[in-house]
Amino acid sequence: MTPTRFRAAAVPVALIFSAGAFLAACGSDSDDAKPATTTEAADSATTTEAPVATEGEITFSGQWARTSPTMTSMGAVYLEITNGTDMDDALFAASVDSTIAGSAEIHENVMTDGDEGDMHDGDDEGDMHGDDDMTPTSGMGGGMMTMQEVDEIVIPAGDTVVFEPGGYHIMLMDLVEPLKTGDTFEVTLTFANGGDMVVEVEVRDSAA
Amino acid sequence: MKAFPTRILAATLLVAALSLSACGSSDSAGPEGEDALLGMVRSPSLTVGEVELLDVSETPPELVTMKAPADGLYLIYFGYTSCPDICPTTMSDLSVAMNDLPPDQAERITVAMVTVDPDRDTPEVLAGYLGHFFEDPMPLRAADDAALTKATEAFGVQFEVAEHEPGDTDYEVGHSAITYVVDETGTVLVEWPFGFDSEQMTADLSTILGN
Repeated sequence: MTPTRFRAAAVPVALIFSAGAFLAACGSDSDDAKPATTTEAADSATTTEAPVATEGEITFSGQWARTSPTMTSMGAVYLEITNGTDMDDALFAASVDSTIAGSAEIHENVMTDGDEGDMHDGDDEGDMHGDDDMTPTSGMGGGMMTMQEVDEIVIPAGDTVVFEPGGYHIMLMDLVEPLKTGDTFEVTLTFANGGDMVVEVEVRDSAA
Repeated sequence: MKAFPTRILAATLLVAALSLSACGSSDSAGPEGEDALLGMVRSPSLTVGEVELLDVSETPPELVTMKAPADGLYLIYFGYTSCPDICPTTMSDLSVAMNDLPPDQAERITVAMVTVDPDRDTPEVLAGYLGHFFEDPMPLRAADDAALTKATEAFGVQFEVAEHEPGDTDYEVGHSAITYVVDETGTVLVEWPFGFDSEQMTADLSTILGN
């Protein structure tokens, strides 16, 4: 087969394909028009199978911090933690240099059931003092997102735990200066077995 | 080799014909679902046009109702600026969604955030925060607690602010994380929960503004 013959056959096929794509784009928007279900955030703080767990150590990937608006002193760091060892481990503390922020905590967002109109969530219930008059019964998706500090997050052997918007994050409090896009800084993560590990994070507008 | 250009020409004409027929029919009243929105649509729809809040981007703050300007839309969100995760994620998603619209459609949209944490979110803080994400946002505060309760009830928003002393900077806030798309009549056309895909937001806005 010569290159010329190959091209003679390929070009019309490619054009017909693009015609098909055009049709789909113009004519069938309604195929996608199903009602949105509830937020995917509820799934975000779950553990997933790690594709590779042969490193024999704790590893990090996809780490980033969100660019912070100038008028706020809070920041958030996201990453994936993979436990490549054959022993469960647990992340129980995070810290950053005092030139970055006053303190760092491990947080998670929890969606409370909209119908309850109250924040029953185990031990932390006492922290919130909601006024029931202020919590009308909700409509669709009307649950509340509440941030709470987490004592520790277990990273099971061979698994990856994802920290992402809507789920777990490392919260930075009392930022010394706003986190600017493109900056990098170090976060120290403390594990029960693995001890202190340092990960460098880049400041970005969004994950991807 | 002689046949080569002819085949391309034929294929090109086919593309043209198909494209014409595909797009020609999409303007007419289409089958059910053509205008369907991807977010949550209530039936009957929610009306919030009576809600009055203070636009603190103006000095002095200007009392506004939740009715968008003619042919425009408000994207209204209840949150607070000391929120490092949910609120900036939502604002960032809204910003991406608007940037993906043609400029003439994007400029008909105003993003408004109503603070549920007025103690920390002074007019300056709130306006500065929104200004990080949008060119001409509408930072909103309630005139007092009663006005905030009234506003949240109208939208079906839930929120709770932990007890704190004046001047405290570290206390918890819980809130519904929904964006409401409101038209010039004060009708909520569609609602997007937290985590709703920004491309789907763009599609919804495009559907609404294209009509």
